[in-house]
Amino acid sequence: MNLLQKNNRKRKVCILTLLTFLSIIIINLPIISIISNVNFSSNSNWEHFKQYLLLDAVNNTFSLVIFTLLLSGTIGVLLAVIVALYDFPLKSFFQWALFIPITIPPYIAAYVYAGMLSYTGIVQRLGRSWDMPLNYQWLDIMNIRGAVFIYSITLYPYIYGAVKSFLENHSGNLIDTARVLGYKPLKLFIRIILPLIRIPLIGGLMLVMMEVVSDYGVIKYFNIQTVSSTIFKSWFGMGETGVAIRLSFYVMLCIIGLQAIEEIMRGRKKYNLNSGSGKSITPIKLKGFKGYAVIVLIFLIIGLAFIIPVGQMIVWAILAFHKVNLPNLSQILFNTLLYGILATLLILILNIWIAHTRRWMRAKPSFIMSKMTQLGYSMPGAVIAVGTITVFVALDTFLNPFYQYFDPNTKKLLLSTSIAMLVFAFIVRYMAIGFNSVNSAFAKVGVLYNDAARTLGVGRTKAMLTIELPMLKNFLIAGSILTFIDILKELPLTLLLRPFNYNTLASRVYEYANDERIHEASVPALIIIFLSIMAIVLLVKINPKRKGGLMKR
Amino acid sequence: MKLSIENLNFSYNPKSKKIFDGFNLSVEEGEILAVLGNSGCGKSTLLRIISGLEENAQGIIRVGNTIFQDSSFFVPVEKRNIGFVFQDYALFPYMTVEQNIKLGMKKPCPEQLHQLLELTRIEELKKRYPHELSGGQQQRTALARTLASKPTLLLMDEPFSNLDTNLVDELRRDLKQIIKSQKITTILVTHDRDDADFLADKVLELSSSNLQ
Repeated sequence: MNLLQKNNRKRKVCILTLLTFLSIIIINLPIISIISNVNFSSNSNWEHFKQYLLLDAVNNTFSLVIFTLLLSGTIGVLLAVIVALYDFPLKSFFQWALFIPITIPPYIAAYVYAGMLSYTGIVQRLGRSWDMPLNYQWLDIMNIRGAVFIYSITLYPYIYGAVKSFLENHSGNLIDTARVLGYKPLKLFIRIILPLIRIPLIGGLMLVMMEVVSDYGVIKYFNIQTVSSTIFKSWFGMGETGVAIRLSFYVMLCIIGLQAIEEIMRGRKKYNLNSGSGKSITPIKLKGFKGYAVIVLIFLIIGLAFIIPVGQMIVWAILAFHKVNLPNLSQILFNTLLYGILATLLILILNIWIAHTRRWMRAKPSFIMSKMTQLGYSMPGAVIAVGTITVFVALDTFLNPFYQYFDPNTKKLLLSTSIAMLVFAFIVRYMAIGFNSVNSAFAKVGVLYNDAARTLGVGRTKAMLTIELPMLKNFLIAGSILTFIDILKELPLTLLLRPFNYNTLASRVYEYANDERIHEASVPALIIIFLSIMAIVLLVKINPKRKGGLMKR
Repeated sequence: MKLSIENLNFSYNPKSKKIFDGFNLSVEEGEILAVLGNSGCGKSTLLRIISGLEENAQGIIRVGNTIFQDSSFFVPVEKRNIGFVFQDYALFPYMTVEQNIKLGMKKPCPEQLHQLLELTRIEELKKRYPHELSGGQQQRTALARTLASKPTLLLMDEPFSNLDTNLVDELRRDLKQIIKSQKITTILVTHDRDDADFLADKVLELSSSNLQ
C-alpha cells in the first residue's frame, strides 16, 4: 500500500466517523438546546414556582418513583427468580405470558381501573348489590397509591425480562456452586442472586423510573402534580418557557447523576465474568402444593395486569362500538402505523450505521458514541419535547428566508408545525431501544466476516450490507419490533408535538378518557394492545436465541 | 470417604436415550479417580448426579456410611457437603478472592482462610476480583473455596480445559499435592489422557453405552 492509498483510507474512516458523530449530535440537539438555553438568573416566575409548586411536584415524583420501584422491583425479581430457578406446570406458557402486560400502556390501565373502581364501576356496583362490606376509601385509586399500583402492574415486565434473561444466560454454574456449598433458597436469594442480578435489576429499575418520570397520562388523569406535569403546564399552559427549560435541566442532571453514582458504586466489580459461556440454570422441580402456589401467584399477577383490564375494556368496547367514528378511527390507525413505522425504520438505519462504524473505533470514542446514542431514552418525554420544540423553532427561524423565497405567503413556523417534528422526537427518545439490539448483534458477529469479505475485495459498507445484515436479520427485526411497540404506546411526545388535528391511537385514547368517555376510549386502547401483542408474538417467533442465534439462520 | 454408586440409571427426559444404564462405580477413601471419555458421553453429567444437581437419576449413591440417594430417598444438593469445581470455576465476579473463599466456610474463620490462601498460594491476590486473575489463579481460588467447606468428596469438571498449556504441568503438580495433603476422595473429569495419567490413582473410561 503506498502513502497515497494509506492517506485515502485514513480519510475515508475519518469521514465515516465524523458523519456518525454528526448524526449523533443532531439526535442530541434537543438536549444540547436545553443545556444552552437554561437560565439560572432569579426571576419572579421561577421564585413563584419554587415557592408554591416545586416542593409538591418533587415530593410526589419522588414518592411515585420510590414506591413504584419497590413494588415493580419486588414483583419483577420474584417472578424472574421463580421462572428461572424452578420448574412448574405450564412454565413454558407462563414465562411468556408474564411479558404480556407490557402491551398495556399505564395510562390505559389507569383509565380502566379508575372506571372499574368508581361509584358506577363494576366493583362498587357488585359490592352494593351483594351488600359486601367494602372499604370504599381503598377503592379510590386516583391518588399516588393508585398510580403506584398502575405503574407497577404495567411496568414490572421491564424488570422481569432483564433479570430472567440474565439469570438464564449468566448464572447457571454460579447458582449450582452456591447450592453445592450448602446455600438454601432464602440464603441463596439474599447472598448470591440479589448481588448477582445487580446490573439487570438496576437497568430494569432505571427503565421503570424513566417511564414513571416521563408519564403524563396517568398523573394527568389522577390529577397528581409531578415534575413532568409541571414542565407540561409551565410550557404549554402558562407559556413559561424559562421555568420549563430550567426544570428539564435539573431533571436531566438528576438522571445523569444517578447513572454516574451507579457506575462509581460498581467500581472494579464485574457481574458476568463468563458471559455466555456458563452453563444454563438447572431448574428445580416444584411439586405438589408449591407448584400450584406458584401458578396461583403468576395467575394473580397476569389477572391484575392483563386479564381484568382487557376483559373490562372488551365489555366497554362492545357497549360503545357504535359511538366510535370508525372512518376517523381508521385514519388514526393509518397515522399511527405510518409514522410509527417511519420512525422505527429511521431509527433502525441510524442504529445500523452507528453500530457498524463503532466496531473500528477506539474504546473511548466508541463508549462516548454509545452513551450519546442512548441519552435521549434516559430523558423524560417532556424534556425531549421542550428541547425538540426549541430546536425546530430555531430551525424555522433560520430557514424562514428560504421559505419566503419559495412562497412569500408562507407561515413562519413550517417544520415545527409538521409531523417531521414528532417523528424526530420519536427518534431522539427511542434510539436507545433499537441501539441495544443492533449493537449487541454487531458485537456478536465482530469484524470477522467483514474482514473476510474485504480480503475478497468487497468494501466495508458493502460487506456489512450484503453479508452481515442478512445474518443479523432476526436481531434487527427484534430491535425494530421493540422500538415500534414503544412508539405505538407513546403519549406525552405525541400530545405535545403533534400537528393541529392530528391524532394517533394513544392520543385518541387520551382525548376520550379526558372527556370521561372511557367506554369509547376502550376501542382505540384495545387496538393498541392488540397490535402490541401481535408484535410480541412476532418477536417470540423470530427470537434469535430460539432459532439458535447467528449461525443457524 | 469411600464413594459407591450402584445400578445408576439416568436420561435427561423419559423419551431420550439413557446416558447411564445400570452403571456401577466405587472410589476408595482418599483416592483420585479420573473419568475419561469423548464429549457427550456423560462425564460431567456423572459429577452433577453425584453432587445432587441432577435430581432425576435412579440408583444408590453412598458416601461413607451416608446414603445420598436410593429409590425412596434423596439428599438435596445443599445438604451433601460435596465440593464441586466447575469447568469455568464459577467464581462470583462481584466478590474478591477472599470473599469467594469465605463463601465456602460454614462459619467465618480467619485462620482457615489464611491456611487456604497459603495452601493454594494466592495470599497476595486476596483483594483482587476474579476478572483480575489469570486462569491458573482462578482455578486455585475455586479450589480454595471448595476446600473451605471441608467437603467429604471433591468433584472437578475439566479443571485444566481453560488454561494455557504452558501452565498445565505446574498446575497439575500443585493440584495433586493439595488434594493428597487434604486426603479427600476426588473424581475429576477430563478429556485429556495426560491429566488422567498424572493425577489419578485409577482411570475410568466412559464410552457412549456406559454399562461398565
